[in-house]
Amino acid sequence: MFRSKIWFNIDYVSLLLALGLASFGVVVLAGATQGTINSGLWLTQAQWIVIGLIMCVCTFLIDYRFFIKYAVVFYIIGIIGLLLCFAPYIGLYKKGAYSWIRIGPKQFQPAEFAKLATILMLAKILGSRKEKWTGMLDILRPLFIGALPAMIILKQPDLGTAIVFGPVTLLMMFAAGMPFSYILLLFAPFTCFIGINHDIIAILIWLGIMGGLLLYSIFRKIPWTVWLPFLAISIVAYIAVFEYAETVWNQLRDHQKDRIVGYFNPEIEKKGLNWNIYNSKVALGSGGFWGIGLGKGTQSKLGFLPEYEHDFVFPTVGEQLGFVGGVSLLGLFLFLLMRALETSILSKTLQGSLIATGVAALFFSHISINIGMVTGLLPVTGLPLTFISYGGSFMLINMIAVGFLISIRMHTTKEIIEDNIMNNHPQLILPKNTENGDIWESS
Amino acid sequence: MKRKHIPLFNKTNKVERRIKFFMLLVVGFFAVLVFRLWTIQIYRQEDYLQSSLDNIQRLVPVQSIRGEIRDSNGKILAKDVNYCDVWIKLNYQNGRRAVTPAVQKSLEMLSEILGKSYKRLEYDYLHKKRDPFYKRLQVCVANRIPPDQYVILEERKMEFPEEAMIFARKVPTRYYHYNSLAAHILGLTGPIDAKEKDSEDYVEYAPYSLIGKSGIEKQYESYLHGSDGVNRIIVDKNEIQRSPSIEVKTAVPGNNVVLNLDYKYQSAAEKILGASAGVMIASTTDNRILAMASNPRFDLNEYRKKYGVYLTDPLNPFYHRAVAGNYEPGSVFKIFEAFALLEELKISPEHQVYCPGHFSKWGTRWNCHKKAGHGYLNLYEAVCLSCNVYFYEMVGDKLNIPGGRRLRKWAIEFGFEDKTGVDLPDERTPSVFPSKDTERFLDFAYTPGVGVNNAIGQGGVLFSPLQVHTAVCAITNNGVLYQPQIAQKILSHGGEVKEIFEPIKMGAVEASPKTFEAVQKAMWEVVNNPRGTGRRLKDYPNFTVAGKTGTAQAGNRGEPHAWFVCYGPFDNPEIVITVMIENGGHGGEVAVPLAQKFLDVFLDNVSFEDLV
Repeated sequence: MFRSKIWFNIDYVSLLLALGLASFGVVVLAGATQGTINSGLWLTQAQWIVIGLIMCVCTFLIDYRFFIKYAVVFYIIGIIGLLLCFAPYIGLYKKGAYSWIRIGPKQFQPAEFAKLATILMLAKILGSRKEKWTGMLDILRPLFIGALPAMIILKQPDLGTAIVFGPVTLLMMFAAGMPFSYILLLFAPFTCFIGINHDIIAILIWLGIMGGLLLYSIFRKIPWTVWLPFLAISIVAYIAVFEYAETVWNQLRDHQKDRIVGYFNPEIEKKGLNWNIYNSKVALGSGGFWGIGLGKGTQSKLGFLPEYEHDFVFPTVGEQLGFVGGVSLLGLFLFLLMRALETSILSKTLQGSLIATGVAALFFSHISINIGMVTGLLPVTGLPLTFISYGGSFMLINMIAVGFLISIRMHTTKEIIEDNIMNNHPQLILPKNTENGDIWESS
Repeated sequence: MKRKHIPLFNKTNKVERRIKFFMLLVVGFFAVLVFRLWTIQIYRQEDYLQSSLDNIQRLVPVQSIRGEIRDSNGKILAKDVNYCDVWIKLNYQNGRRAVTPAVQKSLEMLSEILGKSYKRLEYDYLHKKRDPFYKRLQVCVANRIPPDQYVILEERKMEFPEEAMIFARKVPTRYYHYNSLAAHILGLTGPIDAKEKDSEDYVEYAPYSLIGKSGIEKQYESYLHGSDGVNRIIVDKNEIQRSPSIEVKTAVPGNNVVLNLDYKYQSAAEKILGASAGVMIASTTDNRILAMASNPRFDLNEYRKKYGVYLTDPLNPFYHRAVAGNYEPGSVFKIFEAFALLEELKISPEHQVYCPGHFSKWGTRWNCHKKAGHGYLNLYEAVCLSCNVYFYEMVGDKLNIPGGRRLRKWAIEFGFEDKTGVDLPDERTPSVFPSKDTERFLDFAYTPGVGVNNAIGQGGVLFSPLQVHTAVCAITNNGVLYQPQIAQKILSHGGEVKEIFEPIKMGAVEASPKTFEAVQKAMWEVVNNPRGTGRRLKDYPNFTVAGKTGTAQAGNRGEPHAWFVCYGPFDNPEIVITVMIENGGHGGEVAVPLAQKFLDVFLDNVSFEDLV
């Protein structure tokens, strides 16, 4: 393994980007906690970065196909881990959710691991299917894989983390070449929210959408096994919403109601409803263009910014480093995401491509939901910011995810060599003796 | 290392297209985020910067130290001392104040330290008004705790939970050194209310600042108050101060007010009056008030605690009898009638009238207080013996018919129709019958009976003791009417004289010197004639007193009011004393001995301590 020219193939750009982002997070965290009781937090975070880096290296040294091969195992481990959260002695109840397990003195969030395991599993399933998307099963299988951990996490309850599985699964399905018509059908059930409005116009609009979808499906000659279930689900969901929306609303928890009401009434700023978002915007806004300087942020230190080391870390960036700092951070994120998607395009295999897409989708959903939340674009859901938020498991998983990216890029180079061999010396790649089938053995 | 070969699936162009679309999505969303950041951080930066200051910065008013009130010898009567108010951070649940476990712990500790009942504290926590300066996030649960409790509180501050932190704030509080001494004159302070805040006098006042509510405290508010300062502090989420206070505006202490009142005379007067409801006023002849006692009084320091007791007291301690009281002057009025007689009817003081013990006319009979009658008497004797018949005939019949205008004219001359203009806020307009409003009906409304009644100072003539006192002062200095003056001067906080209040002349009684002489002689007779009603005061060596007693019938309200006005020494008057005892009895028997006691103190015949 070490004999190969592997070290020259490492994607240093991704690695440095990850390290840069993590260091950015440490600096911001050190600044935000300076002079408070949390002032040692950045050291812990730095330790996690070092551990994460080691994990990252370990990850990219392994061929990503190994992970694809054992994706099922990882996936099952992930699900078991999630279930263990509810187990006595091992599971840990913290901040109102069963999202931690305790092994000795260490605590982990299995949900983080489950994200990666799900990406691998999806890549395996979506990447090894037949060329054409036919029938319901092609859609239902990845959906089920994505929904299973999400449902368990929703039970913990940790809405934010559960939501991430949605965009990741959908974006991966999208990238895997799911037909456009299927995507349309997939979104059909969401039209049920029109049912909240009991106006005759709203009902007509919904009926129009449904009719349009039906006609579209028939004209595009989509098999009825695909469109019928979706439309049936849509109709059932619509009727359910139409009838029971009020009941469901009454059963929501108070803070959830507040968040929804607050999101749709952003002008209610100060008290109660949008307190978090209001203070987050205040922290961002007080930074101005250049920021008020590292370590000088007031809103986080004086306790007005809730959870400033986890979910509301971006406002501390904006407060300390201003618009410049925020946009720089966004630039770094964009660079990383583009790199991941470039990896996805470069990859010779669909699985590699899908893993890279999944990682990009994971990062993208974390970043967009988190920053969208703190700037008031999206409703409040507790979700950390990739590489910047404080948290051990989260940092490890991010690093490993970057490890996947590097691994894919690295081994893509090998794939190119492999392709060459296959094209020029097919006898080497298709040996009669299957026991010595590995090209690396023979080369 | 053996591995199974994983079959390769060639990617289609579709996948690549999809990923490129994903890239576009990412770029698009990031553009939205950047735009959003621009909106928040640059476009609306000013607003949010202000909001961030609103979050952390508090502009806290610093109450200025209120000026002292001193007596003429510099004794401090009222002064600001530092007490502490205890505030607690409010916890809200569902938009309402809630007693969370943290709050409960705080309140329990407070009740242990302050010795207040927990229920009381909890009630205050839930119901008291919130503070505007701390964004209505705090409420005051204990007012004016003593310094020793404050020390304990500061020591144990760390034990209180942060979510329900307590804050002990020093508040200058008015302290009156002699509790109830001159309570009505000094007056009370209290927080400014909404109506006062809107008025022009209090434009620069911070809400909740302490202002004078009555007495000198209210009258000289502009001098005493000084100007409040402002401090800027940085607080955290739990309203705990996280920075040293920065002075934005310095508090300027108020000026001191020095009164004409003399602690010695004032407390002597109050002691002399004792438990009876009454008034004793002593002043110089130019009406600088040396003592103005009005009993019963209330305790200025503890009046809030005893408020219920005071309210249910039938004698009403809050009633400032000297200034706001309305009493019929009785025979005291006769000395002013004497002016009218001498000036309007142009009679000689020696003009004699026969007193048979009653006065009968118009089919009615009015009695003199001496049933047997006084026989023939002139003006001096009539004043000296306080004969009613003389005045029934001369004033009730001859002067007041028709219409009583001539008596009224002389009442106005002595300032009986208007307020005296004393520097106290709660003076009441006196009523003279016939009054301004009834003047046009006088010819038919002013019946002879009313005139006869007015002749002995009853029947609709109602003056405050200070009014009578002011008029007597005018007699002593041959007609100059001075405004009663309680404050003497204003000193700055450092002690320099800022303003001196000179005696103010309100007018002059236009009567001939002979008339003054005659009336003064009549008043001399009252005291120095062995038969005079005020004869108890005649024995002072080198100090001749002149005066007039009065006994005003109170009808079915009990005993008559006992009056006595006097001044001395006769030749060169220094002091004027007015005594009025509500439902006291006969003036000569009740009021004169009290005046005598006061004169004893004034002339240093009796040491102040012996009075007790």
